[in-house]
Parts: sequence; C-alpha cells; structure tokens
Amino acid sequence: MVLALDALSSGYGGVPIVRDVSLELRSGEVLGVVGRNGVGKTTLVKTIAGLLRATSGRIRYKDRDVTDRGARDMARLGMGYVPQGRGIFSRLSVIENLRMGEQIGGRQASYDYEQIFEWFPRLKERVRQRAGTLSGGEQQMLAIGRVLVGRPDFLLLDEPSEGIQPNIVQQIAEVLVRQNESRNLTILLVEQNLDLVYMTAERCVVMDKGALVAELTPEELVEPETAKRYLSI
Amino acid sequence: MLPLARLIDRALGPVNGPLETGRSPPFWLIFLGVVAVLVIAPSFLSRYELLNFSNFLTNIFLALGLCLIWGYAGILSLGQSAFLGLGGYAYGVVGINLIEAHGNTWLALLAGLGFPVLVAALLGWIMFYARLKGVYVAILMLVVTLLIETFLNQTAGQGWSIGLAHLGGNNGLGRFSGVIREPPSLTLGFSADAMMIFGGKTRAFYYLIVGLGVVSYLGLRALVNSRLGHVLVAIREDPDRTETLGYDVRRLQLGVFCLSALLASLSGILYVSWGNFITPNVFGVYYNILPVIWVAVAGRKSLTATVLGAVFLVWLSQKLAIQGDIAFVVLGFILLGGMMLLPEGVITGIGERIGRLFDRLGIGAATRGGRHGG
Amino acid sequence: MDTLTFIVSLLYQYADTLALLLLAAIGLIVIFGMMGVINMANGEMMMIGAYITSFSYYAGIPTPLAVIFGGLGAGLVGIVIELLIIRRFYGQLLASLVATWGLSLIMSQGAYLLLGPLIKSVPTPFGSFGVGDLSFSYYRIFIFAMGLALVAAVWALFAFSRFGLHARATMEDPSMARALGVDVKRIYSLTFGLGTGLAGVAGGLLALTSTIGPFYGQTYTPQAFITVVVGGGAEIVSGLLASALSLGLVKTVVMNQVNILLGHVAMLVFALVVIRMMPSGISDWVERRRSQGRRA
Repeated sequence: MVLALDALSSGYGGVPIVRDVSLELRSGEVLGVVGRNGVGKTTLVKTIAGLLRATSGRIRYKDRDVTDRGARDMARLGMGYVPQGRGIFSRLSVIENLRMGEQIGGRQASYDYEQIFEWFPRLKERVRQRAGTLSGGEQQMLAIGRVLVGRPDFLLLDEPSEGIQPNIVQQIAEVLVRQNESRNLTILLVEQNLDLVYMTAERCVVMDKGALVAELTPEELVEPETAKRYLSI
Repeated sequence: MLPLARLIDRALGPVNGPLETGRSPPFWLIFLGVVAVLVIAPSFLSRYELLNFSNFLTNIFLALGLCLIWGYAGILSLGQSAFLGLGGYAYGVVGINLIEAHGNTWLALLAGLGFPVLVAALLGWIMFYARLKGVYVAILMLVVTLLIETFLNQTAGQGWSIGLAHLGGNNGLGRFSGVIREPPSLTLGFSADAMMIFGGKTRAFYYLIVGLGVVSYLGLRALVNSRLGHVLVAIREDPDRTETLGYDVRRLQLGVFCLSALLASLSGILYVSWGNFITPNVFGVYYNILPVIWVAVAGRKSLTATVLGAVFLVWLSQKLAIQGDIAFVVLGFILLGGMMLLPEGVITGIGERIGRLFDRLGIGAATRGGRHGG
Repeated sequence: MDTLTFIVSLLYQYADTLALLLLAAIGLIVIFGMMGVINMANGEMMMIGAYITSFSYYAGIPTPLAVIFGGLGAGLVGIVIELLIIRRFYGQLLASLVATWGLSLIMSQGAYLLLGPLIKSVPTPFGSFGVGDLSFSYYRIFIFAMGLALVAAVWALFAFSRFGLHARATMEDPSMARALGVDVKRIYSLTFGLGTGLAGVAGGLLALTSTIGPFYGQTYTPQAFITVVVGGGAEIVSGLLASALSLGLVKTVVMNQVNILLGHVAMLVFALVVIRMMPSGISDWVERRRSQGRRA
C-alpha cells in the first residue's frame, strides 16, 4: 500500500471542498481520478501533496501518517508532484528545471539525465533554453521529466494532458506506462481528458461535489453512457 | 431604543460608524470629558507646562494624516515629516517677508498650507499614476525627505535667502541663524486693531490647537465613516478589485495623500508659530520615524488610538530624553516590539477589549443595534 | 585642464560613483529580489561591517581579512535577525519595512550609546597617482574593481551553485520549489544572511575611505534605495547593473558640471522618470517584455 486516504476532507477558508474521501493505492497501481470542472480534484491533489492542510481525516503514505506533513517532506519521501499548469520555472533553463527534481526521494549519488532525454528528445534539443520559451507540450514533458529525475516511487499528476497536442500526450503516456511497468511506479492521475486515463490507468474513480461517487475500469469509463452520466460530456 | 439615545445617535451620525473605534454613548461622554479637561487645563498648568503641552499637541495633525493614509488607505509614507517641514519653511519664509508689510500672516498661512500640498500632488501624481508598489512609495518618500534635508543643511551662506528670509543652513530659519529675522507666530485677525498673535506661550495658541485638533478629529471621523472612507478601506484591502467596481483608485489615493500633506503642514505651521524657528532636522530620519512609531504602536487603523498614542509617546520620549540618548533606543524597541507582538496596535487592542466588556455589560447596546450591527 | 586630464577625471568619478552605488545596493537588492523585503537596516549592516573592520585592523589583523570578518559578522547578525524577526513578516511587506526601520534605530542609536559618536578610522591604503595637476586614489579604483567582483561573485553563485539554483527557483515560485523538496525557509535565511554579509563587506571596504560612526551606513541609504527602486527585483544582477550604470552616469555628469548635491537631485529626478514608465524597475520591465515575446 503506497497511499491511503481515510475520510479526508479539506477546503479553503472554512469552505469544505473535498468531503470524506477514502481510497487506497497499491504499489505499482495507476489510478485515474476523473470528474467535471470544479468538483474538487485539484484540491484533493493539493491536500495529498501537502500544499493544503486537511481539515479532517488522515493520509498515509508508505505506512507513515503524513497528514500533517508539508509539501517539502512529501517530496523528500519520494512523491513527485506535477501541478495543473505544469509549474515549471520559466526563468530557469530546461536543464536547470530538470535539476530541480533531484531532491525528490532524497539526494542520490547520481542521476541519469540521458534517459530523460531518450524519452523526450525535444528536451535535449532545447537543453539550455529558458523554459518559458517552450511550447505547452514541451513544458509538460519537462515537468514530467523533472519529477522522474529522482526516481520517485509515487507520481501525483494534475491534468497533465490539458491543452497538449495528442501526439505528445501519447509520448507522455508511453513514458508513464513504461516506468510503471519497469519500476513499479505508482501513479495517481487526475484528469478531465479521458484519453490519457484510458491509456495508462487500471482503475478509475469518479469525483463529484467533493466526494467519490463511483469506481470504474477505464473501459467502462469511455462508454458513452457512463461518460455522459459522470462527466456531462 | 430610548428617544434620547436615538437623538444622540442621529446627531452623531456622520462621525459614528464601523470604521472608527468608539461610538457608544459612554465613549462620547468620555470624549466630552477629555475636551472639557483640555479646555480648563490652562488654569492649572504653569506657563512652562503649557508651553510644553502645546508643543506636544502640534504633532496631532501629523499623526492623524499618517493614520489616514496608512491605516485607512494602505499607503505607507516614510517621509511625512517632509510636508511638516515644507509647510513650516514656506510659512516661515513668507511670514518673515510679509509680516511687517501686512501686519498679519494670512498669506504665510496660505503658503504654508498650499506649498506642501502642491509638492504632494506632484509626487503623488508620479507615484500613484504609475501604480507604484507600496514598498517603493514608502522608501521614495524617505529618499525625498532626506534629500531636502541635505539641501537645506548646506544653505548656510549669505546668498541663500528668499527675500528677507535667510535659510540658515543647519541652523534653519530663526533666531539661531544670527540674522535678525525670525519667522513670526501666527498673527491672524480681520482688522488691523484686532490682531491675535498665537505665540507659543499664549493661551490663544493653546486654544487654537485644541480647537483645530477637535475639528480635525471629528472631521476625519466623518470622512472615514462616510462612503469615501469605506472606499478607501476597500482600496487598502484590494486596489484592483476596487478599481473594477468603478472607482478611480489613483485619484482617491492622490486625494488622501494631499490631505495628509495638508495635515502635516498644519503641524509644521503650528510648530513654527510655537517656537519661531525651524531647522532642517525636521526632514531627517528621526522626525520621520516618530509618526510611524506613534501610528504603528498605537493602532494605525484608528484615529482615536493614534491621537492618544501620539500624545503618550511624545510625553514618554520627553521623559526619556532627560535620561540621555537612551530615548531613541527605547523607541526603537517599542516600535519593533509593537510590530511583532501587537501588530494592530496597543491602544486599539485595549480599546477592543473595553468594547467587548461594554458589550457584555449591555452598555451602549441601545445605540448599536440594527444599522451599525453589533 | 587639458582633455586627457578631463577624461581621466570623469572616468574616475564615474568609477567611484559606480563603486558606491554597487556596494551600497548589492546587499539590499539580493534580499529584495528574493523576498520583496526592504531591509531598512541595510545601512546598519554596513556599519557593523565597518566597525568590525576597524576593530580587527587595530587588533593587528591584515586589512583584507578585517574586511572579510566585517562581512561574516554582518552576515551572522543577518541570519539571526531573519530567524527572530523577518520571518514573521513574510507576505506583509509594509510591516517588515517598519519593523526593520525599528531595528535600524535600535542598532544605530545603540552603537552610539555603547561606543560613542566615532571610532578609529582605518587609513586608506595604496596611495595616489597624478594625471595632469589632479591626484587620484588607487584605492578608489580598487573598490570599484571590488564592487564589480562582488557583483560577479553573486552572479556566479546564483548561476552555478546548487544553492543559487534553488534560490532562483524559490524566487520565481516558492510553492513549487517547496513541492520539489527545497527547504524554502532555509533559502530565505541564507539569502538574508548573504545580503547582510554583502552589506557588511561593502561597509568594510568603504570604511577605508571615510570616518566611521554609528550613522555611517545611513549616508548610503538614499542612494541604495534609489538604485534598488530603479533596478527592480526581478533579475538581481542585471537589474543592479542597469540601475547603477544609468544612475551613476546621471550623477557623475551633473556632479561634474555643477555640484554633488545637484548630482543626487538629478539621480532622484531620473529615478522618478524611470519609475513613471517602469514602476517595478528596469529588470521587471525587461522580464515582462521577454515573457510577452514567447509562447509558441
């Protein structure tokens, strides 16, 4: 068990957004969290990442209670977080952004950047460029490459395919699946776009009004009836 | 609601409101009491004590001005005393030149009030219309005042005169400069025989300050509790949002900034009228940090707290000054300690506690239901 | 005065002015760029550096080491101040301004109370040289070089070291830096200490050119503030250089033609004009232009 949420609630300024969410992620699992706009997916992610304090409930990460731990601790414990909007440092270069991922999981003796460049050749082309000059898709590859530098155990991704062209989404999906298969990387993926979820997830949960309302397989999710019901697509 | 309470509430309407501490009948009773004490005080004070007390009170306007712009509009200026100085110098220079010709200081008064406001308008136009960051506004004002101080400090030579007024370098305007003319006290009246001279030692000066002080205090209370006051607070909290609501934020900021300069210049004019001298020191760091200390420590979001705090802290500095130079260090600690421990201000904190006590005892509840809320 | 002498003297004055602006402002702008905090006690940090330099010198320590001690001392004081005081004011910029002003008052007046109005000044080394019928001090050229060296050192630190990388990331997005495992609080402490340490070194270097007293640093404050306001906090090194070069030019030309006071006035007027057009300083304006011109 990598991540366990027990009746987790959180919100902003006394307004509850995430209500009583419980779920468990086994090691090596890829879980998709889907739902319409505004149901609280990002709030959930931020709470797990340690950027937002939970108002009630508990979070366990690798058998450790991390409910009161902050984002920095979570990173050091091996959690790689890619926020909505990528969160890259536009004033730093590509390679500098990648180097910022070195703390995840604690500092290590060596890092394999060549591998990152194998997965994302476009990053190698632009290695010294300011990250702010990259296209949206390239920035997303950079954000994902960044969290993989430190060989994390767990990835937390918030809408990684938002605004990205399909072929890059494909590339990202391949990297994620390969990492998941070779290193047993556990992934929690929050998405509105179902393609990436379909390509990578084994299990999905649907969120509505801050709570989990259904659990599905990706095949069930992409059925037009289900999609309409839960995601009003 | 009792009919009398209702009458009081109506009369006090404009100066009572949620944006200023103290609005219950007990508060106003205390206020009247304080004014009464101030009015009869000269009968009980020696000439020296009166002179001293008048000096204390000249600072009120400077403090009120800073409270207005910082506490209500969110504009911190670290150079407010510059306007005090500009007002004093302008008044002094015009006064020296015209006192014999005119026999009064009306024009000097006008110059003393008008010149700093013009300077404030110019600086404010540059800063607020450029939407300068608050931090920059603060330090820019400090730079301006220090530069004026440096300039005036080197006006010692004979050539540095405006008409009959010799600027006097670091000795300033007045008897220390060795040249005969000193800036006159306020000499005001409507006919040549009925001139009143408001010299520092006189009761006339004392009552002038008390009168102006009460008027300013009540006037500012009315201002901050009016719709304009609420807009200022909105600007303080979120200028962008206030702008999207249709208010011309920059013009309002400029307006209050000029008003604060006007108040500071009043302090400057009264100071010159009191002592018949002014030196470039008033533009220096110490004179500028003082109002910041008063307002920050007493409670910047409350006019009442500021007035009380200013008077108390000036009294304290005087007491400490007798011990030697330790006064400055103590004030520094008071400022630092105040900012760290009681960021909303000491007097505001106490006032709130008293207010809650009154609430619990049910005093003043009669006038505080409904419109103003509890 | 012949042309050569005039040119040399003008260049010398420019270098001297640049030295002063760079040294007075570098500590301030490092802290401002990182945290948005204006350290009103920057002058007092320079004073601490100068005092330690003087005491060390008269204790027999060689001058360069004495200056370094001044920097270290001011840096340590800075870290302590950050831990005890500045930390409480993140996000409240005006309050931190007032709090550090209180600190400045305590330190300068405290120094005055404890150590008197003046302490022993350190003699200016290196002597002078003549061009035409004017004489110039080697040391002033030296501190100009030192000013540039300090700026270069700061640039190198931020560009090449791991601390610098983490610091730049924190400057841009502290929340994301934290989510990547950076100890943001430690970055802030160290940066504040770096800023005060730089001010201490500056104070030590400049101490060899003047008398030293409790209000020693305050004479540099207005020029330091103007430099920071014009430079802006977006890019520390380029902002500082752009600001110092332009302000220095204005001051030198006016100072040369009229007098030093009008030189300061001209600097202020120039600064007001610049901020009317670029309210957050030159570096911020440049940064905005850069970020508008991209986006594939």
